[in-house]
Amino acid sequence: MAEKQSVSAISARNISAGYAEQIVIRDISFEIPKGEVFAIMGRSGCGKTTLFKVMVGLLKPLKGEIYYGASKMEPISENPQLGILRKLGVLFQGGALFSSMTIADNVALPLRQLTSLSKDVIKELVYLKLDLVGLSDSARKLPDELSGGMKKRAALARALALDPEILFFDEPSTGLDPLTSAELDQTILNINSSIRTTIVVITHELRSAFAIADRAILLDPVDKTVIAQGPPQELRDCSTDQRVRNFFQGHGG
Amino acid sequence: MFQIKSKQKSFDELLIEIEGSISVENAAFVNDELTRILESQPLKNMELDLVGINYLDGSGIAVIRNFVRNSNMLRNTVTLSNVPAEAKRFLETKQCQINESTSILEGIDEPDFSEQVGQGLLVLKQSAYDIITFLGAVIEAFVTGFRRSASIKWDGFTRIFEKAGVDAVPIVVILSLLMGAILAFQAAIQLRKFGANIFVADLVSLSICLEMGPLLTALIMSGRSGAGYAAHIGSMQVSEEIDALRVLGIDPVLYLVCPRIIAVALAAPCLTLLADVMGIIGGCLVAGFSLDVTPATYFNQVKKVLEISDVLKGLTKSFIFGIQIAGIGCLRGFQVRGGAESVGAATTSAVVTCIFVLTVTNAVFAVLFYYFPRIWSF
Ligand SMILES: Nc1ncnc2c1ncn2[C@@H]1O[C@H](COP(=O)(O)OP(=O)(O)O)[C@@H](O)[C@H]1O
Ligand SMILES: [Mg+2]
Repeated sequence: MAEKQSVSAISARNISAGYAEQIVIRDISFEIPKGEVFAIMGRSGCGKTTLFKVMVGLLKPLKGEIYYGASKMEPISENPQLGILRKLGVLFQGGALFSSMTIADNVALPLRQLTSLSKDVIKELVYLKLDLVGLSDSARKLPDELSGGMKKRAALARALALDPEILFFDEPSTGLDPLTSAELDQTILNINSSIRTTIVVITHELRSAFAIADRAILLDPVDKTVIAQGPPQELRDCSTDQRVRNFFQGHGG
Repeated sequence: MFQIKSKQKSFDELLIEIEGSISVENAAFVNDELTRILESQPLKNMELDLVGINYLDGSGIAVIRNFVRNSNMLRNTVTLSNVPAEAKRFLETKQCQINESTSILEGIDEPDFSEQVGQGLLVLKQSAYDIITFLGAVIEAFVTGFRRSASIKWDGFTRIFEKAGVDAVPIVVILSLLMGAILAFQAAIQLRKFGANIFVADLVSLSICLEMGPLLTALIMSGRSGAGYAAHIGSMQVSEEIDALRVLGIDPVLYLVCPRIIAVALAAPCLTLLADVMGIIGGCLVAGFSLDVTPATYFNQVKKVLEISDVLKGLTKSFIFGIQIAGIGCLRGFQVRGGAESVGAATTSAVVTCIFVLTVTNAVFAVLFYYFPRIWSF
């Protein structure tokens, strides 16, 4: 634990963000230490995805800054920080696999575009990554031919292609049955423990947050900001805040 | 099954009793029945007795609410009695809440004429602005792409070129052959009167090479490639694939748009050349059959009037058309927000914008070639 808290991988400072005329999140600050599994929780529509988009540079915040280590993240549309992006692996809510390419090509795309590795090495790497998520048999299938859980795993393989230092998951377990989602949680933990990847998981599922997260923040749709942060168990057992208790009890415990 | 009985209770009071079940299957009948009663018995206070109801679903409740609202509009009072317990929540609060739901299904008011014209102009301005910003992004992408040429790999380029160019060959061949034949046929009717049959070659070859060839090809390509790119990139936008590219650090403009622009810009002149040849052949066939101009005389005449510069003018145009078609298709795709409907709108808009832009560009070229007639001649 002590070693984990030494350096912040990500720090968010006073982030406010929203769309057109609607502010979705307001004045959010937090630090994510290197090597930690960090959960962003909150009920649906409270702005988790919005916060995530700001963090990876897809949405320009109205106010505030995101730092990765010492470097500032700028919106991709204005000034893409290739150095930072290179260190990120992102798993979107819907998978976002390129539907016109096979699974293997999906995983190979970042390798082909962003590295100068030879064809054969890329082939090996793709095979390794697909094996890691248990999809080596489906390498030549198109995304449409996979089930929901397999799509998520394929997207994970793509996110892992460049061995990122930080992994983002936007609701990895939506649309998955409890068993598959527990498997995915286990995969996430394995990645975290084996290569010390910092992991940011967005989730509304308590079970998964308890299973994997070292720390969590809880967003509130009414206050539009962080209402609690700390280890998930602590939030559940020790919080006196009514909104926090509602969130944890609302899920049926 | 259901039954509706109405009874006169006093001179201004009507008791309506409904029995049985009201569900989706018969709600429409019940509604008609109640409306009929309401209209045939005006100026009455009503009491609707639901004591005999044994089944009432959402549509049944909606029918009753509708009845209450309609009679309120006729200034009759309605009282409901013996409302089933489960439906109380929706029916008890009648008078006050019922009016609220009246407008939820009606569309937003259409703005008046001048407002619509104004909005249209704003859209046009926005559209022009979008095209210019997008053009900037594309140029920037090309510049960075060439500067770091090692870092971009258009692995799909041959496939994109094949789809945009090679796959369009059959339709281009057929259409231009027919176009040449039709031109010759129309000309034949007039030329025969003057015994100027041989000039059919002039007419067909010049109009095909200068105007019809490039334009026909460009229109075919807008429908195939322009619309295709809008739909493809639009649905990538919807399924977050574009965002996925962005966070991978791959510029979607560089990766998706540049190869498509190059592919279409190269394919368009090739197809145009093909269209020119086929059009002239089409003209030759008709000339042979209905004007007694032998192929040899026809092609001799073509050789005399058609200068290399005419063909090159057409090809220059179609090169520019190609850039425009691919660019507009991709732009419309990137503008998709939301879901499937938006993708459809983008596709339509891509074709319409292409046709508009192509026509305007063609006019500009016409003026240009008028003032510089010797362009491309050696
Ligand atoms: N592209 C968008 N345009 C406008 N509003 C949006 C958009 N995406 C999300 N919102 C709004 O922002 C709020 C938060 O959405 P989101 O961040 O997706 O929530 P979550 O991921 O926590 O379920 C919602 O009220 C939603 O309506
Ligand atoms: Mg979300």
